[in-house]
Formats: sequence, C-alpha cells, structure tokens
Amino acid sequence: MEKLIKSLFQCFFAPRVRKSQIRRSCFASLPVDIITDIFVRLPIKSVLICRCVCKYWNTFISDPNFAKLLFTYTPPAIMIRRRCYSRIFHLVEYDRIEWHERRNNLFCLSLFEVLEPNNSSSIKLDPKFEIFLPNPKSIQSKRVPPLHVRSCNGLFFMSSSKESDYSFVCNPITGEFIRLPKQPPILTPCEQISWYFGFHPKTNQYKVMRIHIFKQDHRMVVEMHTVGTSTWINIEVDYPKHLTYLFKHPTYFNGALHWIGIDVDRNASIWAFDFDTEQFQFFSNTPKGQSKGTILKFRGSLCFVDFNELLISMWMMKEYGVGESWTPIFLYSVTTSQLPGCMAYLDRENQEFMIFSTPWYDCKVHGKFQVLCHVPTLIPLKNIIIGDNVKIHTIMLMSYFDCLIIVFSYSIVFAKLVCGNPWRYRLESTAASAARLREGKEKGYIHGEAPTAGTARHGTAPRGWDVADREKTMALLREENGGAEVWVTWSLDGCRQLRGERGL
Amino acid sequence: MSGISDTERMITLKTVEGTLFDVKSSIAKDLKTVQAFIDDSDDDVTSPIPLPNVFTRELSRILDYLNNHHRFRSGIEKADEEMARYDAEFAKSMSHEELKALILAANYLNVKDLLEFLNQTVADVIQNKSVEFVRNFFGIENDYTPEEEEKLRNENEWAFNGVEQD
Repeated sequence: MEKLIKSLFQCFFAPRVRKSQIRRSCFASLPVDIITDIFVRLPIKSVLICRCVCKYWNTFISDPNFAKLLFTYTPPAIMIRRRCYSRIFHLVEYDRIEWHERRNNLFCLSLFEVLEPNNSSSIKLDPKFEIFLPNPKSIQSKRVPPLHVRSCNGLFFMSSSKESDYSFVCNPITGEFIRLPKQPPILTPCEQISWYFGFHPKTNQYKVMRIHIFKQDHRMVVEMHTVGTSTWINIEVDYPKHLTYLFKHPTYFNGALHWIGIDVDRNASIWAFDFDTEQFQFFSNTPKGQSKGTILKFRGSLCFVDFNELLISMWMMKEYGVGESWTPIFLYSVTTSQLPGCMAYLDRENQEFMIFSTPWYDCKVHGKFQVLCHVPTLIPLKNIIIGDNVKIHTIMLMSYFDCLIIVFSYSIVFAKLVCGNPWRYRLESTAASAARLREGKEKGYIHGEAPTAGTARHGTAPRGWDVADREKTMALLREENGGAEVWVTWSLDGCRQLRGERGL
Repeated sequence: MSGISDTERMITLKTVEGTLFDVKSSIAKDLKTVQAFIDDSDDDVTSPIPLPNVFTRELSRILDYLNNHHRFRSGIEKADEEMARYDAEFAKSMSHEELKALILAANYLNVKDLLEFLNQTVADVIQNKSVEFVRNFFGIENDYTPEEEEKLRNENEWAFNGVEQD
C-alpha cells in the first residue's frame, strides 16, 4: 500500500517539479552563442553593466576576441563635446527603444536643450563622461589648453597645438591611452597647420598626420606618424595650384581622409589622401557643387549633406570613388522663421543615425561644439596598437555626481570639485535668477544670500576626500565662504565657466 | 502513398507532456533539429517525433510564429507592417519567464529567425537596466564580494549614469 502511494506521488508531482527546475537552471547557463547574440545587440553602456553581473560574464566580455566580435556589430555612435578645451564627451548611441516612437526620420535637434529634458525635439544625451588627461608639466599658465580631438575606427587622437609633446591616442570607452612621441618642430611661417587621424586597413595601423599648407608656394608638407612606432616621417605630397582652400575637418572613410576643397573657380570638390598610396588627389565632385556642405560616413557609404539656401539635401555615394553615383537620400526645406541649428537623421531599419550642424547654427548664442562619429570599442589597446615599447596607461573616466543642472540665461552659478585637485568656483548671478533660486524653484541647492557677481573663490580639496559626498562638499564651501551659505550648482562642463586651470 | 507532393506532407511532433502537433513539412524545415532528424532517417517518418526538451506551451508558440511568418512572406506587399505588428504583439504577450523558456526551446529546435528575434527582445528588455535586474532576469547568482563589485563599478562609473531604477 505504501509503495503504491509513493509511486502515485512520484508520478503526480515529480514531472511538475522537474519542469520548473529545468527551466530555471538552464537559463542561467545559456549556450555561449545565445549570450553572445544578446550582448552584441546591446548598447555599449549596457555591455559594461553586464560585466558586473557575475565573474563569468566579466571574463567573457573582457575577452579581446569577444570585444573584436562586438566591434564588428557595433553601429557608429556620436560623441559630442562643447568647445575646444572641454574634456567632456557626450556619447550618443542608437537608442532602439527610445527612438522607436519617433515618426519622422529627420528631425531638428536641440543639442543643448538636453539640460531641459522635457523638450520633445531633443535627443536624450546619455551618458556623459570626462576624459582627464595629465597636463603637461611645462605649461606654466593657468589656461586649460585647447584640445584637438579626432576619432577613427574606435580610437581618439587628442593633441594640443600649443605643446608638441602633448598628444595621445586613447580609447575613451576603456580609458586606455598611449602617449605619442614628440612632434618635429612646426615649420614657420605657415598659414594652416592641422592634425588628422586615420587608419590603414591593409596593415591595421593607425596613422596620425600633421599637415602644413603653404598657400603662397602651393606646397603641402605632410608628416606622418604610425601609432606604435617612434618617429614622424615626411611625405612628399603634391598640392595642386588651383586648390585655394581646404576645409579643416576631413572625414575618414575606407582607408582615406576626405576633405572639401574650393578651387580658383570657387567650385567645391572632394579631395582625398589615401593611406595606401600616400597620395593627395582629387576624389570627386560634390553632388551639387555648393561650398556649404559636410562629408559624413553613414550606412557604410560616404555621404554628403548639402546646404543650399533653404534646402538641405543628403546624398550617398553608392559606388565609392564614382562621382556619378551620388544618389539623393533626402531633401528638407527650412523656412526663414525656423532655421534649425542642428539636425539628426535616423535610419531605423539599419539602426544607424547621424547628427550634423547646419550653417544656421549660431556659435555666439549656443557656443561651439564638435560632433565626432565614433564607434565604441572594448578591444584592449595592446591588441590594436602594434609596436615595440608601446606603453599603455589608463585614465579614470569619471562622471560628475548628480547632474542636475539649471543654466539660466546670462548667469551660471556653479562649483567644480575634483578630489585632490585645485578647484575654483565662480559665482555669478543676475537678480532675476537669484530670485528664482530664493523662491526655491530649483531642487538640490542650498539657498542663501545672493552672492555678489564676479566673486571668485578657490582652494584645494583635501586628498582622499569623497567627491560624491555632497554634504561634506557643501560644508567645505560654507567654511570657505566665511560661514555663510553658498549658492552652488554642480557643473558638468566646468571648463566652460572655469577660466583657469584644472591641474592634475 | 504516391502522388502526394512534399509540401503537403505532415509531420507529427510530440512534446514532453505527450501532446501531439501536426506540422506541415514546409514549416518543419524551419525547425532545423527536426529537419535533421528527418534527413537522418532512412525511411519516411510516420510515427510522432519525440521532443524531450520541448514543452507544449513553447512548441505551440513557435509554431504560431512560424505559421504567421510563412503567411506574411507568401502574401501581399503590405506584409512588412503586419509582420512588425505581429512581432511586437508576440514579444509583449510573454512574461519574462515565458520569454526565457521560449529561447531555450527555440535554441533546442534550432529555429534561427525566431531565436534572433527573441535575443533582440531580451536585449531590449535588459537595455539600460541595472545590474540587479539583469541578474534576476537571467537567474544568475552574484559571485562578487562587495569590494570587488565596487571596484568594477568604479572602473566604468559613467556607464551607470541614467540607468533605470528597479
């Protein structure tokens, strides 16, 4: 009898237990190809979060082979930064979920309305992180040097025109960087000197170029450095006589850099420097012959955004190198009453997008900004840079704590602190904004007496101090201010307000 | 029986619970594991093919998906929109548990298109979510010490900005 009951019990209950047990345990140990397939569909930010899930996932994601595979799937993202000395970059990745609802493919973008997140026409910019780079010891002045930044094939090239030994190649996502050897002295006098960053696919080497253009002599001196080596090499390049002007920001694509150039007849055309042939030559006509345009890489092809009076058109070069293959992608009319300063174009099917500024963008009102097309990568530098004696350093990529910021027109109230470093804050406010703060309309601020405009204080944050501890921070500022309360906002882009140094 | 063309043949599948499903052989082709079994058999497969790792609920969903997709593909031009709508509904109709169970079944049966769709759905679910959420979803135990985890988070601090709270 007992046996019967026991066997009945087993028959009845056992299968159900087995079912859920199988289901639960199996999913935790999914086959590798499923995990891989899920990871490659995530934005880079989420992949980094997944590293913290468990040790196995961390090892899996940190494997250079996985990083290489991920890189082949990663769609181009955009890095935006304000001003030429800012070290803060905003990474914008294609957001499948957030942008799914948007009906149009092309829409105006209010880049700096990101600070007012409820504006429906703005793309949410997220995350923000800052690249801290060591200041060269030789800089005695208190100014933060302007930083030229270029992106190519997953890496950044950063340099300062003032200091010839202050240049780096870094991966902004992983924080690894290498210093580049000192550049040869600049040839003077020279009207145009620029730095460019490219990639030679055949040899898998990154190339840094410095180009001097001597317009009077129609001469172009190209100095090339292969990242991983220790020297700069001069390359003889012909600079055609009929080319009067070369626009400053070329686009890297398919092993070559492409510039817009203007010739004596004031026609715009495209010129290219190929890293394989090491020649600088005419590449193609622009689709419409206008001088106002931008070359972009989009959907695996070279594209051209043309601005003609009130018409914006985008063209794609269906066959690389063939001028006749420029194909229109979209046409957009603007009205004089609504001139967009910045636009974004989404390709939902292929999950790619691009951001470009227009000639109507008013730098004086909104400030300059730079848009870099960047493909985030997790591949360790030692697997990318081939060379002897390549020394890899790591910088700490930090985000500012608590990014609640309100920027009033004509007044910015801020403080900026980085642990262990000299800091300063400048308090400026107009009566109107002071009143707003006093009314308690903004959250998270300590209210008090409106400060006198132009007051500047500075001091040193003690080492080991936890920058994220707001209470301590406020207490310190209060102390500095002679016991009175202070108006503080946490500034993300401290470089904008800081007129001085940010030494490290 | 002669005269019956290949597309009309029906294959019978048997789930863990013993439920039988009759499937057109054109649909069965998408179940690569099943197709391999058929190809390996010397004679025509007449008896039900047992699927020891697949439950009724999952097989029913998979066949539903495949039947619909076959219908969309063979139909008129407008099918893309309909298919997108069906896919969205399909993804929404499942709980996380059901989604995970379906992935395991689709993986066992080797249904390539559906698996890609499901993986994308999972990616959408965990995108921009916290570490704890992802752990719970996958049923993974945290084997980090608090110090190790803290260190790891600090290395990529910026990635945690703006993550959805649980």
